[in-house]
Amino acid sequence: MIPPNLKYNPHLISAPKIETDLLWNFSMLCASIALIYLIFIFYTKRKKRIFSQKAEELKKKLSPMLSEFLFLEDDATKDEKSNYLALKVELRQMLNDDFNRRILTQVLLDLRKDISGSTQDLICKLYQSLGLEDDAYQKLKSWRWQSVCEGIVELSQMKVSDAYSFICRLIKDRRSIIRKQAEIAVVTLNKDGIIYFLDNTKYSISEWQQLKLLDVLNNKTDYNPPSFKVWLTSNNNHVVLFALRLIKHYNQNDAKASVIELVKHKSNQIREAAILCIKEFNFVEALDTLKLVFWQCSITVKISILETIAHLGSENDLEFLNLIETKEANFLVRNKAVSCINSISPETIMPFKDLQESKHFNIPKDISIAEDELKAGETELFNEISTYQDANIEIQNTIESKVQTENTNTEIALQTEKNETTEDFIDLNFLPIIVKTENEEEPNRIETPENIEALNISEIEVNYEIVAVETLDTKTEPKEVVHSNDINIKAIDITSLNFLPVVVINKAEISNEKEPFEIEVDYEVILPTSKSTYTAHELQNIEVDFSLFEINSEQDQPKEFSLEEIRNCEIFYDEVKTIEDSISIHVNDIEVIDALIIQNEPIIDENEDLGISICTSDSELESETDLNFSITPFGSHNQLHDAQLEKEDSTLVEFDLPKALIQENLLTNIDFDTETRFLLNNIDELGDEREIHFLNELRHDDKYRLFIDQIELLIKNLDNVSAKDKTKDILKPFNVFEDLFQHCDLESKLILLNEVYAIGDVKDIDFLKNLISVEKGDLQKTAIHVLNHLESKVHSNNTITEPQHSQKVNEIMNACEIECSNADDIYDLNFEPTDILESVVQEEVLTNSENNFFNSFLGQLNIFSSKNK
Amino acid sequence: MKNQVLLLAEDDELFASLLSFRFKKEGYDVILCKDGKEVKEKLNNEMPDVLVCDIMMPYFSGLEILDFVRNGLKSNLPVFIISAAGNETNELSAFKLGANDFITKPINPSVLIARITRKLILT
Repeated sequence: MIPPNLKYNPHLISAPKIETDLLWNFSMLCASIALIYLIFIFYTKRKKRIFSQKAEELKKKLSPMLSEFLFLEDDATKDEKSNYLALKVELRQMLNDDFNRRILTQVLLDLRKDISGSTQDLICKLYQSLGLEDDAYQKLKSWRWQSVCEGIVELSQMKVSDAYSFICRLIKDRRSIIRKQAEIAVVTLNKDGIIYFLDNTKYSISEWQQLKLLDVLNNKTDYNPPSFKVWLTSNNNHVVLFALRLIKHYNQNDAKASVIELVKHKSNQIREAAILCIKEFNFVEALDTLKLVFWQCSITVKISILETIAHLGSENDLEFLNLIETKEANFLVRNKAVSCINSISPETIMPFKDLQESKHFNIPKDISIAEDELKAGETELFNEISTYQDANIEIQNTIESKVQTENTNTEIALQTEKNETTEDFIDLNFLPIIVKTENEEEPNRIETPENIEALNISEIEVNYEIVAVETLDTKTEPKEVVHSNDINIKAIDITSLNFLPVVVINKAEISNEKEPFEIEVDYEVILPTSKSTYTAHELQNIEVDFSLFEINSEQDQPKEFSLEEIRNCEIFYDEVKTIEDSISIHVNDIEVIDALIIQNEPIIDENEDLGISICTSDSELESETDLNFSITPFGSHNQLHDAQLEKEDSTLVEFDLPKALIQENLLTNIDFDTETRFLLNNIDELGDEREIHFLNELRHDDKYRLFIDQIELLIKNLDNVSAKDKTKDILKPFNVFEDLFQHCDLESKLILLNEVYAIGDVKDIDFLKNLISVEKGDLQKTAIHVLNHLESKVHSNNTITEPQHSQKVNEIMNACEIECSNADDIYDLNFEPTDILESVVQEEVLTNSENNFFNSFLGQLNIFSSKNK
Repeated sequence: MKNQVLLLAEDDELFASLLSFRFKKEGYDVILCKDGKEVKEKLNNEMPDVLVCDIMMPYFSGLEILDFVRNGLKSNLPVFIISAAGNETNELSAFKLGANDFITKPINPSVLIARITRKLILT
């Protein structure tokens, strides 16, 4: 009940007055919006359904077509080929519609994902040949990022390498999603894409992106990665980090200095990557740097450094590690340091509790221990260092005495230094030193050339015999004459074959001065046969047997000699052992010069420029003047003549002729001959038919009678060449349409025939005739039509004969009232135009200009305006 | 000589069509199925010479079909499993169930045909 004194205010509880119409209107509005929305949804859904249905149908239609395209083989039947062409035309027609293009692109992209190998390549080729890439290029120009990305993906997946330059620009795009897609595409499309990317990117490269790029690189076939150390100096830290990871991935350990330096980098990520590289490539040199930077590093980097030290470090690093163990605040790092110490030197962690001192382990005096037992015992006695040290000395002494008793030339370097032994480390000095003496060498070892090759050069044994040693008053002491069959070079300790005897001729014999080409040089060279080449040092130890060295002198021989004499000079040599033809031994490399010394001072004085330098004394020999000749293949000839020496490469001895001894007239003759031969050779190599006239002149010149055969041969050759050139001109002319026809489809062929119709000429008639005989159907019909047209065109051109031309000229001349001039007056030209001619010309000019003017757009405008006026 | 019958179970119509064309070109008679149910029906009616089966299919997966062939039908029919997801589990399961080969997408059609032909020659 309401108390009577409480007044009730009805305004406070009644609802505000709202007009019903307004409510109705509002409800209607909402309903209509909902309806519109529903209609829109239904419409859109239906549209999408229709679109997808259409796409499905199109895909069904396209799939067999694509299969035909992709699996058409070279040996396909005619029906298959014709079917292929028909499909291609149909496909091209379909591609005029944007929707169809879109679906086809989608289909090809889907197929590409599922198919690999050559079929995948065919899909990419088909995509490009159908011109679908143009749509992708259009997408690249879009302002919407998703379209651009679609375009990039499409082009990169379809391997459109031409798109590389377009996509390269997008690497610097401000939108990261486009940039990332472009980076992947650039690396995919070009083998050098990674180089461009690393050079040009200014933005960060995310971890995911790095993985994607690495994946792309890994999937490349026959990929040869560039040297990534170049980018270790990049300004972009992300590039440096990525380069370090790539270096590690591709095992490029040639960037040691840069990698070590990068440990000092501010970025922890780069430091860590560099440390991983150091660990991976075992850069021991980095240990100092690692220790240096350790204290300023983060915990993760410190742990990485300790892991690396554990991997690369030695006992020298224990001090540093102990320091870390005591000073480092972080438990993880301290723990890592201990584990590092343990891995470097596990013994340091061994317990010392209950370990007794060495003195407690004395050997009882009543037990005698044999040497061998002692050795065995020593290995077991871990702490008894002093005991096994004694044993060590004993064994060494035993060996020394053994070696001495055997009285060999072998020097045995025994290590007598006592290593510092501690309780912690095992000294291996107690082990016996095993020395193989000469007598213990393999008894059946055969010194084959292969063995010699494998041997160390200082180990080769040189067997030699001294044949003759005749000393004269030389400046140096003669070499020691040694007769030995087996001498170990190691014992003699020589660096060259200087120990070989110097073979010299008595001065009394030499005084009979003799021409160098009359000296009979007999020598024997024994060389090991081997397929390998020999170095100069190896050749020092080659088995060399030299037996005789003779000088036959004739006293009154004049110093001048003719070319005939040079030709007839004889060089004798005896082949002792056949060696490989390819081996060429330079005498100055073999130190057997002694055998070739000729004591012949006067000749030397006059012939300083001789190819063969002749030593007059031992001092000269020691100075090792270079001998400019080489001994090349042995065993091919016994006697060599001059002509053979000139022509064949396999000459026995090569040397320059002594210029000073050749007569001047002979020289001039030789010069002339050489020049002529040189000239003729040049003409032979470079000349053409224009030289024939000159050659004819030479043929009739007496000076060149010696070369007449060669000249005639040249003329004949050049005649033949010019004849060939002429026949080339007669050859069938190149037809551009023929070439194009070979590689195009039916539609294109028809287009080309239209072009032939429009611009073809006589050259195309043969081609068209061939085409008619080969092709069938529409193409044949069109070709016949074009041929008829061309023939009539050519015929009409030919019918404009000279009389017609002259008739036309006469008409003009009559119009101008020009009289035909006499032959004598041909040069009496009058350039002043007559009035009539001038008027005719003016009329022509006006009509031409009027025609042009009226035909032009401006002319039509003028007519239009004049009509309006 | 009668052509070998190959049952190709693949839900991707485009890919199936492409493979089917290639198999036909090699002289096989191809039966195309889009899902596992259809494959089972076909296998119950007629046993092909080879079964090439995708692992991911509606109704019954490739592995289920393989199990059906080996344990349900007790057949030694050569079965080639194709998979887009070439993970270890799938591969091992397939071989455990008795698949003759396991091929991961993308597939080289020529290689697939070579494998099938070799298997058929051996059997």
